[in-house]
This record gives sequence, structure tokens and C-alpha cells, in this order.
Amino acid sequence: MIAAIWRKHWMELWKRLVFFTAAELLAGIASSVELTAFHGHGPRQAHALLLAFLLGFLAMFSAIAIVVFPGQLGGTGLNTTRGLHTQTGPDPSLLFTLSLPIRRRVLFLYRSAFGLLAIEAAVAVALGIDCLLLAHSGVPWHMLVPALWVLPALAPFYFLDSFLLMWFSEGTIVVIQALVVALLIVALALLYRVYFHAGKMAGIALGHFAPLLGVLAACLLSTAFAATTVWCLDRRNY
Amino acid sequence: MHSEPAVISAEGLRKRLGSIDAVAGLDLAVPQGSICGFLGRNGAGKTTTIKMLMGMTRPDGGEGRIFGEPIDHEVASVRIRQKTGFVAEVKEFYPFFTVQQMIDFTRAFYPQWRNDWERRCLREYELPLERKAGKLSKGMGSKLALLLAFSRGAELLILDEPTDGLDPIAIEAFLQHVVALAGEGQTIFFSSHQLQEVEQVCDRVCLIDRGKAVLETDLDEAKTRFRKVSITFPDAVPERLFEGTGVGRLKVRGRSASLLVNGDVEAVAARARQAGATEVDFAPVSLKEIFLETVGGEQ
Repeated sequence: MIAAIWRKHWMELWKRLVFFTAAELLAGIASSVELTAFHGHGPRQAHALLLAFLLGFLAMFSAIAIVVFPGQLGGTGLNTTRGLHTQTGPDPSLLFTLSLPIRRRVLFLYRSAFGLLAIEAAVAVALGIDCLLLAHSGVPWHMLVPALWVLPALAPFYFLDSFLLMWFSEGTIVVIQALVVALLIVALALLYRVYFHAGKMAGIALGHFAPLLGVLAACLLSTAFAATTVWCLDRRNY
Repeated sequence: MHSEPAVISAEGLRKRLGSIDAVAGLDLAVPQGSICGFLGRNGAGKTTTIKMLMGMTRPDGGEGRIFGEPIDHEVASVRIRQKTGFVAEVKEFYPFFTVQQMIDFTRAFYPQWRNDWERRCLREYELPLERKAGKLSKGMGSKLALLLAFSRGAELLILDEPTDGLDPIAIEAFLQHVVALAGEGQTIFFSSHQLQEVEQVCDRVCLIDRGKAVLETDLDEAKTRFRKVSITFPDAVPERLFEGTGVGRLKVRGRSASLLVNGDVEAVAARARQAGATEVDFAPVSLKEIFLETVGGEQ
């Protein structure tokens, strides 16, 4: 049964993942090339370069993820109520899936685990290549460490989406997610300004001095969103 | 009359969708081993009821049980679905799977999978194993849905418009399959607008209107209860004569009246004779007439 579910997820998602990886890669390369072409190579410039890269990467990642995440999580029965009013619903094959002897929470957990792992892998590939490009342009390796923060940071986004999908339409989620991302980018940009005045605080926030703290925070947030989703799935009046 | 215990039972089942009472206090009892037709007009609440029975949506009120287990309990619902074959109103599958892959995928969930039924359906429905499910025609989609439902080795089949899109040969095969499965002891509960099919195979009917069961009985009993009476009078038909006698539909043509009676046919005949009727004939009614009388009464 588990093998069948994994196989289904793989066949359903691999094309989206190829698109996602390719889009991330192209966007990242474009951003890296542009940044390295217009900036100097001093330590201060390297910081600026890296932060600008991270902001750009985050913005592009979010733009793509907004489209990819809800699609990835569809078909798990997170929200069937919308489908009851129409013939087809958000996912026409959902009724077949829900007729199988499996709990919604199990469907959701398998699907999200698979989707998240696949997206992490895709982003890791894209990020790795982009970092190589930046390093090649003269950014010291140790300055690229905060870029790894992007990987655990994906998980809270992913599970926030899963939670939102239970209550809102995909169109509404795009708006909510865009607002969250915009807030995050503004916060990071502000931190960048503070960075040179209160260096350590910004450093912690970016995971430069305490990357584990950042990873821990991402894991806690992800777990909280995922657990809330599962809790609601079991209790919701569909 | 069925004396077997009810496989499906519901009391006062309710579901509200937005501002509409999709199901408004439905009472239902489907005995074990029966073939029960679930009939009603569009929007009567059939599909919503079926979705509640399958645990796809939760009731807002009332109680429903299948195999004695509550339908609104997540874990119990999984046990119910383990023993239930299902055909959804929307016969859509994973478009990236071939027919063979859909079969393999579904089989993985049912240890009691029936290979004999799989082979039989493949042979009789002529399903193309290598074609992607997303490329199947509507009729082929229905055939695949039936194969996946019949082969689950289920004790109960819940089928929502199972013959939708099927050609007459496939419909005939489906009806034979239903009878064969019932012969093996399976209980079959299916909704359909094809009253002839229902009449052909069902031994029990449940008619639903505006979310409530308006008739739920054995088909034979329904046909005994409803009779068509043709009466000829020497003069004009005294239409008021039949008020309060259970006459549902009265059609008058010249000196003749055609009545659909729900209840005591003999009392109606006696009253007609007392009023001078020269001829009184009884005729059985079809399920369609019962349906029109029961569900389409206000039309």
C-alpha cells in the first residue's frame, strides 16, 4: 500500500518538480550573474551581495512555490467541501482517492513528506549551483553558509500552505502567501540595514552565527503547522 | 419482505451545504444481501448521502451506520471502506496512470482483491490496459470504475450513477454483474436515473426528495401498494368522488378516469361502483409511475 502511494506521488509530481528545479536554476543563475556583474568584491560588498542574492532567491522561490505548493498538496482531501458543490471539484480524482481504506491524515502525511523531500532536493541542486557561481565570482565560501538557511526555511512555508489549503481556495492562498513573503522580504531587508549597526542580532537572524538556531526554528514551525493540519483534518466537519 | 439485518442504516441524517439542506433528516435501512435502488430527482440529496456514507463528508446531524459502525468516525470509516466497493458520480482517475496501473494501485489497498472479477470485467468491458486513465472516454471511465469496485472483494457496493455513459451492451453486462454479486451475498446500493435498470435488478427502492426519504420499501411491496385503476362511468366522471381515498393522480378523458392509487385499491373501486361505474379495471404500475407519483407529485 505504501509503495503504491509513493509510486502515485512520484508519477504525479515529477514533471512539476522538473519545472520547479529548472525555473529555480534559471532564476538563480540570472540573479547570480547580474549581482556579480554589478558589485565589487570587498568584504562589505560580499555581505551586500549575499544578502541581495538571498532576497532575490527568496522572492523567486516564493513566486514559483506559490504555484507549485498548492498543486502538490491537492488530492489529499485537505479540502473536499469545495468539491461537493460541483461535479469536478478541485481534483476530480479525489473522490476515488477518498474511497480507499486510508485515513486523510495518512494521505496528507505521505504526500507532504514526499513533496517536501522532492522540493528540498530540487532547491538544494539549484542553490548549490548558484552558490558555486557566486564563489567563483569571489565571494568567500564561509559567507555562503547563510544561504543554506533557505533549505530548512522551505518546510514552514510548505506546511503553512497545507494548513491554509484546508480553509481557503488556492487563489486566496496565493494572496496570503504573497503577503507573508512580502513581509519576510521587508523584514530581511530591514535586518540588512541593521546588520551593520547591530551586527550580531542580524547575524543570528540570518543563521550566520547560529545556523542551528535557524534550523531549529524552522523545524519547530513546520512541526507546528503540520500537527495543526493533522489535528484539524481529524476533527473538521467536511 | 427482508428480515436480514441492515447493512446500511440511517436515522435523521442531515447535511447542510451552504444555505441548502442537502439532506434533511433521512431515514434509511438497506438489508443485507439486497439490491437497493436509491432514486430521486437531481439535487434531491443522493450524492451527498452517498458521500456521507463513504466518510467523504461528515453529517451535521442524525446517525448513520454501515456494518454497525458509525460513518462519521474516522477510524471506523476506514474499516467500512475496507469492505465497500465504490463508484463515484465523477468517474475520474489519476490521468498519469494507465488502466493496468490503476488496477495495480487499487489492488494494493485490498488484500481480498478478486482476480476473477478483475479478469471478468476486463474481458466483458474490453478495457484497454495500456491506455492512460486520463485518455479514457466517459463510458470507458465508467467501466474502469466498475471494475475497480467489483474487484475489491467487498461486502457492500455503493454505486453513484454507475451506468453513466455506458452503452446498452455494457449496461446489460453491468446488470448481470450486479445480480451475480448479490447472489454471492453482497449488498448493493446504487443511485440511478435509469428507472428501467433499477426495476430490472432491484428488490428494494428508496425514493428521496428534498433530502428526505419519501418511499423506502421492497419493490414488490411498492408495486402492491401502488395500482393503476381505470374506471368508466356512464356519464361525466365525478372527480370529487375520489377525494381522500389515496388517489394520487387522476386523469380524466371523456367518461373514463385513470387513477394511480396509493393504498386501498378495493375501497376506491367500491366507491366508483357505488357511483355507477360501469367498468373498473386494475393494472400494475411501473417504477417510473411510482417515482413520478411519489417524487414528482408537485409537478
